[in-house]
Amino acid sequence: MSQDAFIAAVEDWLEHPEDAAAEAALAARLRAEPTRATELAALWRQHRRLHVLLAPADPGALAGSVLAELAGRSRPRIAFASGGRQRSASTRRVAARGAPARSWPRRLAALAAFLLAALGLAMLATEPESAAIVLDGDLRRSDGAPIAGGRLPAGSAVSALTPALLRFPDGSTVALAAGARLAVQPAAGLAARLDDGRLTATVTPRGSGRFAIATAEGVASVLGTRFTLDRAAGRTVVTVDEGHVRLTQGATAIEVAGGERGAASVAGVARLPHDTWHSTTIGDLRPAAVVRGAGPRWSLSGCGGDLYANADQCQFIWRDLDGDGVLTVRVAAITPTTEKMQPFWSKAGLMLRCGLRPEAANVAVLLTAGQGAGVQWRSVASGETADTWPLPANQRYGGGGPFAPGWLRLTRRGDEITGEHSSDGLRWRRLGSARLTLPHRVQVGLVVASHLAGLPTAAEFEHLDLLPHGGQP
Amino acid sequence: MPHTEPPAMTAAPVDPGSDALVARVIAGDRDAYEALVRRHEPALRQWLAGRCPPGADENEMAQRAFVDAYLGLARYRPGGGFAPWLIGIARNHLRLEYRRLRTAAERAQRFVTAQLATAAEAALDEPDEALELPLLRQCLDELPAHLRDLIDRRYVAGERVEEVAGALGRSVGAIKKHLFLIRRRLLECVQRKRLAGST
Repeated sequence: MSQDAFIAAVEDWLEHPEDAAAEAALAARLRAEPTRATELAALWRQHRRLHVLLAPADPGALAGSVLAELAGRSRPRIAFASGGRQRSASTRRVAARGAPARSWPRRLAALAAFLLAALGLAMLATEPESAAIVLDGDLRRSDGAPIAGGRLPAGSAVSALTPALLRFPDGSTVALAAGARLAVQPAAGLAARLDDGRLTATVTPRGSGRFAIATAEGVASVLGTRFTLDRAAGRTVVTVDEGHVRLTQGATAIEVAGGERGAASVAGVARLPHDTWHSTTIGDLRPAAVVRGAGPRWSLSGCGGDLYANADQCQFIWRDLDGDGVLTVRVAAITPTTEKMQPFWSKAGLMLRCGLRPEAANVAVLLTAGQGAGVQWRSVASGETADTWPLPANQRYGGGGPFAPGWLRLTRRGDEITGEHSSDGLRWRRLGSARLTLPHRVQVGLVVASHLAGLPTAAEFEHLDLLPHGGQP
Repeated sequence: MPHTEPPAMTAAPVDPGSDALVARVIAGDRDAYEALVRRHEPALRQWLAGRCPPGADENEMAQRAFVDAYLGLARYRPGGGFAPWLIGIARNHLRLEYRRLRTAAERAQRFVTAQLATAAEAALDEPDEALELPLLRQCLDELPAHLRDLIDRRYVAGERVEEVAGALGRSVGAIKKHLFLIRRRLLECVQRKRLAGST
């Protein structure tokens, strides 16, 4: 049997495993050469793993179908805890039948317990419907108390101590970043009010009515979409992944479509510039970079080179910035690929460059795979690179890694560039600043370098965001 | 160093967050079960990834496991780890599924499906899939750009072989051969990394 014929039969069947003809053709090959069966089994498993890894299922879809199936079934039997052991309700009934007659005090205690339970059920029955349900995360009321029973009545004001997930009665979900403060259903027609921080809403399409979230600067109302709302320093930015969002302030409103961003502040509402990023290889990268992504999410691998000394080798995802601006990103992962890369100086972060030549002056705020976070800069073209690492790995992870995930921010004000780090995107720590003589137009964006030519590294970024002109819309 | 978070299946068995959710479900809060499903779904899918034979869908197997887990929550012992308990349920479902598929395949003379159901059952207790996937991701990242592009087109974009061939101006046969060889290369790469990690 020729190898090509076997390959063709395998590929036809992998594409159409339900097709009897494709299976018969492959079976004929296998019968002729039975030793291939083990190879086929391994290839099938690899094929399924690639599907799971590269085409992950829609998060939440399975939960929806599981709950739909359970909707017609009875709830699980109640388990009673006693002295560290548990018995199910049915086990308890069996045990009770075989038990001797109870004494009067025990009967009275049982009656009291029954009445208390009945009272509790009656209270539950009259409890108003929750405005939202906490699916995950640690949410606290304004007095610091935890949320009882995971249910948020209308008007509740909460803070997220950890990333948290809420579900609203129509099935829409809101993911809160740690540190976000939210009021649930603060007024008629509003699902929530974001007082501070970041949320991502996935809104179920409705037949009528709108899902609306307010901030101090405006109202974002949507009809079946997914968007992120970010409120900080008197400014609200909406980033729309799918569908449309109407951003309203008083009588003024703008429509923000999928892939676009809008902002609201005391100055009004405005559409932010479209996110168009360029990808450029700087210097001689070995291996070359593989770049995937767009807008706020990027994945880079390869990138065999270093950012240091008199010239750089790196992959740069960039845009022009005229004047001042703030660049922010969450570094989701940095992955050095072999132990040879110890002590893990692979770098991923944000960079401002005066041009795309390898020797260009630049400033970068960086996370490393094992050496912490810091700022480095080359003050003049072809000059030496200086650096500072005020947040080494051993201060935060006891000498271990990896350092990601973490947030980085690079701010240009005039000729001063400042790099900051945050573990949650809300509370920032200044890592260092550099003062360079800068042209009005510079290039800013993401940068990845493995530290060692010939060895690859990979990094994943989320929430890449450039706010020009000091962050005003 | 893998850049995916270690899934819950390989984490320490003590899982107070899941135990608290189980307690809420048992107390009658069905919505808490949604949170449990969301929490454990990625790791369960990873565990199922290399174990489902053709004809057994990961989604369906995962759903069956979660539904059965819900109905049997009274048997769950807090402190024992919800993830391993859930895996045990999924394992039982898979065993039944292998038998059903083998019987149906033999009746319909579907030789390949029967063979793969047998192979999948033999691999049921092999090392955790969750350990394989980070290695596979590393191997993917090491692929040359043109090979990675082929894989992305086929699996990320979901293009058919004919579509990939048309887009790249290559013959269908050449694309099939490339895909086959890339998968084999990835298998060898994962095996090499696994061996390197165990020594």
